[in-house]
Amino acid sequence: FTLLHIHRTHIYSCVPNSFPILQIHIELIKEIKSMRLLTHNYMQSTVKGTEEGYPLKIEATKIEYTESPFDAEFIQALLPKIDYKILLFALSQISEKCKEDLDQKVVPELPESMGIGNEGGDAHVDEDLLKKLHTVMFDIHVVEGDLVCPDTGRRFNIKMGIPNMVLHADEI
Amino acid sequence: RAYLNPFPPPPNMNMNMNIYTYTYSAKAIQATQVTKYPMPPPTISWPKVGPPKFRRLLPNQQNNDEEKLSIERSQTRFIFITNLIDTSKSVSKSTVPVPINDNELDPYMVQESLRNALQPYCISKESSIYPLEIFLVSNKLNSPFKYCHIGTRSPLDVQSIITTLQGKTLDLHIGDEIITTGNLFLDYVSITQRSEAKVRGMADNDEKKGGEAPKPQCTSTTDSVHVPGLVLVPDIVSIEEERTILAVLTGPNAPWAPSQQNFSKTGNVKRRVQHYGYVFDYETADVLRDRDSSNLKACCPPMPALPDDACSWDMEKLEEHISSAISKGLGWDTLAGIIERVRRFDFSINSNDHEMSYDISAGDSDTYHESSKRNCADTAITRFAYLNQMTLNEYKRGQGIGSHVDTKTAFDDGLISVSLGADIVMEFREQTSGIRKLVHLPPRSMLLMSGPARYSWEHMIVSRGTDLVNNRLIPRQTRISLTLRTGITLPYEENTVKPLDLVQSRDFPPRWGNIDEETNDSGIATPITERQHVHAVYDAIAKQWHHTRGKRGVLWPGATIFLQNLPRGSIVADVGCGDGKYFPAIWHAGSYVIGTDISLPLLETSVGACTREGDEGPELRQVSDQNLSFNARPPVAVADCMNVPLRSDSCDAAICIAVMHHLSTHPRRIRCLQELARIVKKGGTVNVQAWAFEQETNSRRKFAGTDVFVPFNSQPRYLDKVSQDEAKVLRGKKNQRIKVDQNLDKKEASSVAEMYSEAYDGAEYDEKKGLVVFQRYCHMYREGELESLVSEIDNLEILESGFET
Repeated sequence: FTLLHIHRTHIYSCVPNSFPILQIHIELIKEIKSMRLLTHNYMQSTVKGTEEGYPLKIEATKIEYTESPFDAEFIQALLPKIDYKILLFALSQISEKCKEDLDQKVVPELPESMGIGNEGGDAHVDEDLLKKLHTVMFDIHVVEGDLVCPDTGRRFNIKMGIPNMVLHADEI
Repeated sequence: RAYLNPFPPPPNMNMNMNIYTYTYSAKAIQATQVTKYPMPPPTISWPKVGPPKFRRLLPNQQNNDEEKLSIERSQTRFIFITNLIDTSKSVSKSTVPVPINDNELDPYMVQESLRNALQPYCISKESSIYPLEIFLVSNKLNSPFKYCHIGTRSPLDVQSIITTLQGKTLDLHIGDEIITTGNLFLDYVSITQRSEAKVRGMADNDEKKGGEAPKPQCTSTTDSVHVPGLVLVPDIVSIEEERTILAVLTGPNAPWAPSQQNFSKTGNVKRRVQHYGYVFDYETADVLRDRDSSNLKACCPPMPALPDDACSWDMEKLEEHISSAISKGLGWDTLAGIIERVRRFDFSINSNDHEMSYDISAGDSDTYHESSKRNCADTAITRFAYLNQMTLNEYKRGQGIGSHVDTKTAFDDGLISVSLGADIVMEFREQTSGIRKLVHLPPRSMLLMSGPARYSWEHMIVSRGTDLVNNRLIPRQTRISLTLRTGITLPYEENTVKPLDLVQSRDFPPRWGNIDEETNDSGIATPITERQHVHAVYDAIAKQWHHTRGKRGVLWPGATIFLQNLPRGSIVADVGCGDGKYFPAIWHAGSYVIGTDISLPLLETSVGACTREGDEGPELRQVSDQNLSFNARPPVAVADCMNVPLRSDSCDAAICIAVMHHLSTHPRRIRCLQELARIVKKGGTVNVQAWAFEQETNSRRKFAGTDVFVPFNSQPRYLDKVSQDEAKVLRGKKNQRIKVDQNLDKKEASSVAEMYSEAYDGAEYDEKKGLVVFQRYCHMYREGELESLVSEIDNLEILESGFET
């Protein structure tokens, strides 16, 4: 068991760096914020001087894994909306850290392409891949680290799972 | 009860001089009398407020200290005389003081006559040097003097007078008449120790020492005092007008003068002030005529202006303009209209003061320049059409203004003060004689000071917490006073006074000098108003906000329906998501949300905010097991809605609820909409909702203005920056006076209020309710305003718009 300390207003938890994968009882809500890779998929930097501003590089200093219920339909519905290349890129960014922080077995390997074209057709992806996608998109959490703008190098700090994307006055 | 000045007039004074003399007050009452007798030189100065308190030296039944009593009686120098009126004769021949006209009795004449009658009975050496003091008392102003107290210079005189005159009558020579008293009864009296202390060595006891506030004075008894040129016009402004102009004068965009500029001769002016037209400089007590922007100090907003053709409007058209401005929430236009109403006000016809024709020869100048609409000699000025300077003063409870006459060379005759927000009692004091008049100014009233009221009577507001008006205690509340004046050119020549040019503008918010905020190229940088009154406020109140609004799950209906109708698997951006209260609705709809907000404390409250379906808790905050994982780790980022960190065309939909009304400039509002358009893919939908100016459709209920402060009452227990224990201790000390030692490096607050206002800049602690009140900046959208904003953006098209409650 992992020991969780839940405080009414301040949120702390004690989680050792490496721990066996356990099904975490949902009633004990782990009040840790984090950034999922799915969220990263849609993000960009808007600093003055960026051309595209995405995909943001991820320099993670703390990563966690929290398994969540798998909903095939939901993933299927989301598929056309995801930029797969960015997802692969994000995974490659954090793979080193994943090897450190998480169990090897957790992080799946993703194929080069999903097998559905950009026509947005209703091609079904097989369940196995869906599960892998679920893990990558939802269950791997970057808790601490930085997002880095690919064009300007500007760093956006992630603290307690929340990236701070507020620009300074001279960057607008 | 009223006392007259006990001192005799000095010899060889010109008895025809028209000088007033001051009087005393007994207990809490003050009355004034007017006399032709000139003021005596100060020998002993009895305090103006609080004459000596006399007590008869009678044997006390309980305390049979006969010996002590007889010693006292032999040592006192004060006498009590009664039966001055001969009751056997008719009242009209008794010692009746009446208001002064020629040929009628003057109370000072009565006093003098008593003195003359009693003086021969004094035997001591001192009595030849110092005359007797006569303390005349009357219960009503115009009733006869029944008794009085005498102050001699020596106990010997007391004994002599009492033994000789006991039971006898006196003939008083009052003017040409001889009035005989009744059979006099005399007795020994003494003054109390406190009175004694006041007499010995403490010359001027009027000034209270040590910060103790003077007790409230009663205004009803100064009814008889007439200040020539002072006119009070009640209800010059209606309640709706007051509300509208207060919203613009004390709301966001209010041009408060920077505090470091408020230096006067006596120190820093602590009240908040604003100047329009021309700055009034407290240091030099003059108006700064050169509005050259290189001198920061002389910069101020212009006066509010009406449309150009307003000079030709009749009063009906003007009033129509004012009403229309109110219904649109245009405070600046309303203010312009009200100032014009004052400029056109005819004081001679509309005033209740019938004695407008005062003797201006007693003032400084007899003739006035023709072109400035003054008439000669007898008739007073009736209109003040050249008002070109306005100073706004905020009087919080306990604040006042020192006694002064407005600089003669700065402003022409005619100072008009409009009171808003609360009652106050203003004090007027005639410069040479010291006569006082207390005037109660109700809110929405207008006070004109002209002629002697403007030039020879000083005015002030005492710093204290309550006023006593007609026996009613009125606690002080925050009052805004608008002082309208006519600034004049230099050099000052009495016969050729010329008003300064009128500097006015219709623009709002007013712009002036160098006090613009830093402009950057894009024009979307966070303005100070938003930083202080939006960002800082939400950061501070985040916990309470979440507990009261988030947890209760009150969702705006339009947004909820919008979200429920989204197809499954949509990517939704919630710009300005706050505590994430719309997230469950999005998850229920089977979609994925990414929320951004400028306030990190608010975002932090979104974590774990939802409960499991079926559990206790607001239904709208319940989520399925699957979504609990989202709830545990909500996808949020800290970001400004000016720069949403999401890829262009990446989202299926976006919502922006209760965000637009916190944006204070047009470029920022456009930019927010542009960002929403950018992040949503072509064909996607956006839902934007904001507060409306019209609060009920088809009804007249509206906000006071389009840009207002909306208060948020925060309970102290939710606020982090102030230690609750410290607050408790200070609350317990509320009734003690604690002096703050200003030399201490460490700032120690002397009250709970100070503690909170230091921790939270701009917040005020309401002592009565025990709440900390934050002011949130809000811009309320008029009907059609949001639509017109959207139409400025090319790639957005309105699908639906309207009101909802």
